[in-house]
Amino acid sequence: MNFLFDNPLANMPGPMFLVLYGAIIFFSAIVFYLYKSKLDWTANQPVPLIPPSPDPFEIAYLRGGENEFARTLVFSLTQKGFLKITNEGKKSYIVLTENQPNWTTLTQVERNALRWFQQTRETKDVFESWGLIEILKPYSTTYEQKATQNNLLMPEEVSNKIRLSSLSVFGLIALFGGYKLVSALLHGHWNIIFLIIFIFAAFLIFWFLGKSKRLSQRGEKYLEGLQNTFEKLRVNPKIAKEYYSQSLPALNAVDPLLLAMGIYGTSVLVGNGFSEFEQAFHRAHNDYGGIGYYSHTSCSSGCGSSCSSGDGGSSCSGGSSCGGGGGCGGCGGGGCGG
Amino acid sequence: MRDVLEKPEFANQLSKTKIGLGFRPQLKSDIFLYRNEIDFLEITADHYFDATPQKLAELDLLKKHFQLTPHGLNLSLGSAEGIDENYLEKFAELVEKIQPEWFSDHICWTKSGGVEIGHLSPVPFTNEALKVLIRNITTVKNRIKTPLILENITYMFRYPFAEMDEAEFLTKILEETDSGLLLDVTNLYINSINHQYDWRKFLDKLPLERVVQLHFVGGHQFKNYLIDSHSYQTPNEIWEVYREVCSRADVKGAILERDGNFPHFSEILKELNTARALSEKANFSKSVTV
Repeated sequence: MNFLFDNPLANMPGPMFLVLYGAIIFFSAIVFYLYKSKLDWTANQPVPLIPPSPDPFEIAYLRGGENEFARTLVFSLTQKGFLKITNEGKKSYIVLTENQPNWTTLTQVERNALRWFQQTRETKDVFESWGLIEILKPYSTTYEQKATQNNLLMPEEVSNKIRLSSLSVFGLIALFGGYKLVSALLHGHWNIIFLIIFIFAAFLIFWFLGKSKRLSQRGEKYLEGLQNTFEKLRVNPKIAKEYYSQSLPALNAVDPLLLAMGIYGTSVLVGNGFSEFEQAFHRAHNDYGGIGYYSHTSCSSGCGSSCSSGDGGSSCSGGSSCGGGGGCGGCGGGGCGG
Repeated sequence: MRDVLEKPEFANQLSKTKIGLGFRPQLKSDIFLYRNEIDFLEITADHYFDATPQKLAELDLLKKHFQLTPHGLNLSLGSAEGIDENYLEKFAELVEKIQPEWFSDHICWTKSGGVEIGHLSPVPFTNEALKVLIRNITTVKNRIKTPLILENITYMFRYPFAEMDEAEFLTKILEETDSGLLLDVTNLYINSINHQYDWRKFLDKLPLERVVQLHFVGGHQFKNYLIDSHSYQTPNEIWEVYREVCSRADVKGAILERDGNFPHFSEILKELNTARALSEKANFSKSVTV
């Protein structure tokens, strides 16, 4: 046997090689993970300004794709009294209310959505390929184009580069493992199962690392900025709703509750008198078999919190940028003179 | 009364009247939802020294969306021991970072013997205190080239050995150091009640051409004293001072300095609108007069 299969590496005892191989996979994964974030050039771009009148639907789309857009739209229509949610057994239905308010106050997208609800729909139907999301497609596409133009979604070439890079790294690792595997077989060692498991594990790791987030780093920062800025709406949207509906002049047409829904998702509704809505959509999610159904939408809260609902991202819980109290730091007691 | 047409050199470098709000984290959502109503924000400079990443992100967010002006609490311009170089450096870095039109601090002392007392304390109106202030302000101005404006504070007592009155003292500081005045009309009104003098006569003695910015807010009464707690709506008496100052001075900006007991944001917007209306009316009257 020549040097190719008769050298210290080829002759290395299996357990020792597995330790070495495992370490190589581990460090390669870390290096690749760090490298991956560098590939996203949008991180170096300035974060877009928060619009004076943020569009809750657009934000919902950015946060969780067309499902979140649809969910926010349905919530908007229930809030305005056009739709109501009814529960029958384990199923939830969305129906038009008996006394329909004036449709002329609605936007085109809301009117289109309402037409789809002319017949009673089960909540989960909203997300079917023939469902509400299909009706909303033109609007989703507009939001997508806008987000793409602003580099808020991960650029296609970055995703491709990440995928290709992960495949290349895995290829090298597999090649290295394969070499040892062949060497072992040539030396008559048949206990190669752990090596195969390691190669498979490396495949899974790099397959996972090769996936790109839906949002670019710029998009994540933008969303994080929104979540930090409107923190007050998240803490208790019902109170926020009442607060803003009191006597504020009509300077801003944004519905704060809808904005909260757009920015944070249905989780902000829990425990705030809107649980029925959240439960109906949660049920729809379960009916359809859990995470898989919604997996094409990604939660990209970017607020340092986790996504626990699995349905498009609704449970951002952190991210307040407020540190320390406000006011005149030098004041103690009454009268600081400042 | 002094000649209000005589403008110091720095005044020409500053731009037109703006109405704004002292930034407090509790108001952040409202500020952004109604940001078209707010011309600029005053940030408490000290909150961004040695700041956490979250506070720095907040500063970055504010800077991108608003014109900012930093307001310091702890330069302690009246301290005989001089300016804390470390503090000054942090202030300079902040000013460098946000590039404001001006920055401000108080005519007071907050530190002595290296100890911070956590309160804005008055300086005696003496020539010795004047020298200390001029020296310290010069130190600050040598380090930070952005115009510094100085704020009058409230005081609960007067030093018995004063060599001049407050208006004369303020005037000398401003003129000797070529600084602008951040006239806190609430403080002026409160002092005038607590120490029983006529605020109009006080204004007569001030170099009003040096007024760059105003502060306004409501305080509360405690026994026979008014306290500038920054926690109530601006009362009519203080609006009267505000109106009078605007009619006499070329004010560049005015800040509602609410620190606590926050009301519904509509109340805050209402106060900003009142300030804006009074400023515009005063500016219009002046232009007609000229």
